[in-house]
Amino acid sequence: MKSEEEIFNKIIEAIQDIGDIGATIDEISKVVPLERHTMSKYLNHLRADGRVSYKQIGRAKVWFVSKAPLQHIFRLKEEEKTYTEKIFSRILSDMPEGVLILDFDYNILFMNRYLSSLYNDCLGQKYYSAFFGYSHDLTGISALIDGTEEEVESHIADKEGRNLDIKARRVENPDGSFSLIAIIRNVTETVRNETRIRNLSELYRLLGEAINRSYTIDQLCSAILNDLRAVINFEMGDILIYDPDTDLLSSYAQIGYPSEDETSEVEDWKRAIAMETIHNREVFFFDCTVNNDNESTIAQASYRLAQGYKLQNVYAIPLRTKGDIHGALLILSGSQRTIADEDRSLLEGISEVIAGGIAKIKAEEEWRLKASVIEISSHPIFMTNREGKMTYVNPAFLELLGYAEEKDVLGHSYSAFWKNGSEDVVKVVYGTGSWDGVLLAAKKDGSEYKTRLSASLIIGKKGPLQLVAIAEPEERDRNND
Amino acid sequence: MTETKTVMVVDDEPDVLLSVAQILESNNYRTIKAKDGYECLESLKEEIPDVLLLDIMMPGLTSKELLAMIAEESSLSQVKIIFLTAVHSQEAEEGGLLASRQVVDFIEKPFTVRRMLDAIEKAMKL
Repeated sequence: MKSEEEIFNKIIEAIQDIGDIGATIDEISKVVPLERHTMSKYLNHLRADGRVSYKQIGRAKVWFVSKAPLQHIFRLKEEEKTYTEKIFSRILSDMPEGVLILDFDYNILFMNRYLSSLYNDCLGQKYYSAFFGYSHDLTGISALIDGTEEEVESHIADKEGRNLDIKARRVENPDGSFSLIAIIRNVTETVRNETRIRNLSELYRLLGEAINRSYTIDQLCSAILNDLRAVINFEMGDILIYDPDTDLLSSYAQIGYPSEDETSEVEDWKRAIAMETIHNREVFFFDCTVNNDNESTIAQASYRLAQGYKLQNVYAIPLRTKGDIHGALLILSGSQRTIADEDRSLLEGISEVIAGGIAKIKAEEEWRLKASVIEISSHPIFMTNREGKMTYVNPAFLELLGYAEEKDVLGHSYSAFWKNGSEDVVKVVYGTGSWDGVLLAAKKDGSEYKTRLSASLIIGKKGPLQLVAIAEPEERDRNND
Repeated sequence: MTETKTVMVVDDEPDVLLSVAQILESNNYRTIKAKDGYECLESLKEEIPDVLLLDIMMPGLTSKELLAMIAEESSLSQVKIIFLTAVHSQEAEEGGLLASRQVVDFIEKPFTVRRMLDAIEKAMKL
């Protein structure tokens, strides 16, 4: 007696020999002589295994060898499926990932609901064309077809710009041929989030760099607007800096404006928006589709600006550190391009970094201004650390003691330049906070003369920082005379 | 003979606390040291200083809470408060810290000792 497997193989061979148009049970019985009911039993076993499938044509069932596994399940009408097939087909159809079955010529034999929702029904089409718009495969699946790989993975963008994660492998079919099964995931959102995180990190790095490198607020603002635009897609942007003493705004950076359209009217609207934002000390968001009935100054200016430039959104953010308001950041987006909530949050967060950078540069400018006063002072001024080493001298100090350059003085002990002191001035200052008295200034050429010294300790966040002293030559004028 | 005035220094930085106290003592002031708001309140129960040198940003009790507690205590109503801090004055103003009539000066770090001594001397005369 022939084994069941032998019978199964003979039936499959018979169907294949009969040809692509399929075989009826009578045609198969002529090749494999079995009684009709027995043949039916074997065919249904093979069908249950997924090795053959049938199409109902009139009252007759026409049998085919399944080329693609699973394929026959989806060819059947619901009422023709077994219980297991129903459950299985439902799971495959509803899987939150794409299931794709291709033949050896890249033709799509099956795609589940996940993929149909992305690409509509493209059964029978070349998958590289239907999914990617290519004329040939670029996803590595060819390696499965030529047999160099059993499994491939690829990450590729489809014709709609979606990022797909594809994992495909070859599987042997009942007829001895191979099919390709691919699991496809649309990872656009994941990729977008990862890209966003990367961009954000880059943006913060660039901002830090801009703040550290910028010598002027103009440079900082221009760099920041460029960096922001690279990460957040907006049409136009401005940074306006506020002077609280004069209650005036100055434009420090602009990006994206067509220069020929820049009119004084546009400037007025932008300034009105920025000024209101600064005075209100809160962000303002204008959407041309919803805010038109607002009669406030800022809304009206935004409406006009939006009309003028065909904008969708105007977003104004005050640039403030905890204590001070420094200006406003204006971001304008073109029609049909809403500034997303997450970008708005990002811009608000970044505005504090920008304001911090502006405050830093302002403080540095103020410091340089004050430092220049010390530099031009006719009074010799010097500083020492706790050990009495000279850390700063102004030009008047160098002139008084006859030195040409700072490096001849800095790092040396103060006692090399001041003599006849009955007490250690540095020690006294670090102990009592100040010292006033007369010392002999020792010039480089060896001459000496009396100098009144007034020293005070500077205390910083963590404790004593430096001693600062101003010298008043008592005998210089007389000597010069 | 003039009466020795007392200054309470409240700062969580030990170096600032010790240096400022030492400098004040060298300049003929009595000092009371406190490293935070709680220690300050405890010390105020024992002795009332003429001037309170107070850091704004300290762990534990906030300066605002400390000011409110001092304001509630009638025995402390004559204590003059000088802020000695790294916080920007505008920020302190926004936080309502300068609203108290007892706050007579605000010294931003870094500061010269002369500036601090002048402020204390001025506060003593008020």
